Amino acid sequence: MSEFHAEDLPPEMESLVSRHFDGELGHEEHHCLQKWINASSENAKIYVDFAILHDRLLKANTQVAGNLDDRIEDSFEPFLASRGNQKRLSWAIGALSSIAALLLISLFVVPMLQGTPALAAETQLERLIEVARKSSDRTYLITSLEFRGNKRHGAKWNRNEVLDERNRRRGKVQAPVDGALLHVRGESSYVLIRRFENGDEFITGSDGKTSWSVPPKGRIRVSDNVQRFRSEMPGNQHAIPFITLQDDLKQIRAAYNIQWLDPELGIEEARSGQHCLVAKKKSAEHRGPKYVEIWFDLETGTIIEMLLDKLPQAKGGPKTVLLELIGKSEMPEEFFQHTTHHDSNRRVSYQSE
Amino acid sequence: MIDKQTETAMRHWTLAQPAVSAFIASQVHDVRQRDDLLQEVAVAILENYNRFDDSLPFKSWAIGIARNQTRNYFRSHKNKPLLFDSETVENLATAFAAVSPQSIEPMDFLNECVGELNNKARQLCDLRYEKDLKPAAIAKKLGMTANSVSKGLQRVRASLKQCIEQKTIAGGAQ
Repeated sequence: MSEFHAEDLPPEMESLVSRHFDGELGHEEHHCLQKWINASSENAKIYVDFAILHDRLLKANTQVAGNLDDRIEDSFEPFLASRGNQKRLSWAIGALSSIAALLLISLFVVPMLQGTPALAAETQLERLIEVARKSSDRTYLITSLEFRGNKRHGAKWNRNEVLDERNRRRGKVQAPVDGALLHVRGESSYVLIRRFENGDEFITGSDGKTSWSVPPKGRIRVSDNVQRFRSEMPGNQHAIPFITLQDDLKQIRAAYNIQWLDPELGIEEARSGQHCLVAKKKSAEHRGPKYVEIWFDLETGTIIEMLLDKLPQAKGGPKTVLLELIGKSEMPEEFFQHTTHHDSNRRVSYQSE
Repeated sequence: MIDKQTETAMRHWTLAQPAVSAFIASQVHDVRQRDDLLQEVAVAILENYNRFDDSLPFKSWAIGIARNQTRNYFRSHKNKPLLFDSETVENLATAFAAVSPQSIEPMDFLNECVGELNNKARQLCDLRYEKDLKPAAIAKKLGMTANSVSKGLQRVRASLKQCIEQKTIAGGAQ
């Protein structure tokens, strides 16, 4: 055991740690636990010692400590034995294909990952910016990955919930970003389709010359300011609106430290043809999420996923948002005009700014 | 016949496995999923071992792979919300990577210490860890409140830690 002693742990934290391992913590309690873990490396060590005890208790009936060789065999038994699972079977019988894959990786991928990691990551980001500038139509699914928390009844509301409730009471219910579809073309054309629980759609977009908003009911609004209806886009308030991907990446280049997810892990990911750049915000002076992941196809430079974590919460909205590329079909020209998305008898209001 | 490289990888892995396993278990509470992930990590380590730079700590490398596999797990299981945010996972990865074999060895006293628990504590421990029941289910089984089961489990863990520490000190003094 390490130098820490359980009695050094404040009782309320010991209770939190213990209940965490029993899967009993609510949202706010998990926040407290995280805050405590992140407060010092000593706290993280205390947590780790409890985690090792918990893990050993879980395995107490299946693992018996013996000499090193016995433990080696025990540890690898699942892989050395024949298994029905295709992945594990491939380990037992697929040595040739693994070697071939490793050869391919070492020939084509590794040279791109070697060198000064920071420089390579910056270079790769430049390439993504260039590809984004030239890219054709893309469709992204937006998912709000809320922080885990089995919220309990009666637990305190967090700020987002208070804001949501306030909006509900004022009749200003916003269409949810979670599950929304974002169609993007070139540098500034987009259509964002958000859907309410009752199936009604709230659609906003731009054809690059005007922007527009098509609510389920009421007038359609059209503006000559192409940024007019972007406020609902996740990240928009943080200067990373997703719509103009090229601009987003430039913003990341300026305000974030860029690195590969991990050189070794990059190779691991290469098996599925995907790589990841991680961007961490340089300082709190810059707006935007603290942490961004950009998953992309190494060969084409196409961004497959973007994860924005720890979005500022001052104006509500999700804390973590994932954009996944789900289609690259070319959309008809008129798709980016409002007329495609509503009946011709709807009233349209034009605004000039 | 296992070749030299695989044998070295296995030896490294055996020493790193307790920390890697606990790292995964801290984020994935489902035991079967945890086991599956641990196996995925082991396979990835074996398949990529020739890329490991042996001048660097193996455990950090292994935990890096575990972190990646866990991240992928949550991506493909969107109904399983994340337990920890990126900053916390990063801090935990650092802390788990720093776990030394010397700090794992005392865990060999665990079985002995479990055997020394009183009947009630032993029952709680068995239901939680052998039967993989959560406090609410244990409470129903034993006619207790979930809160008292949680408190009881907390005491069980604290007394096991204390017992392991005492036996380690006693062992060191001999």
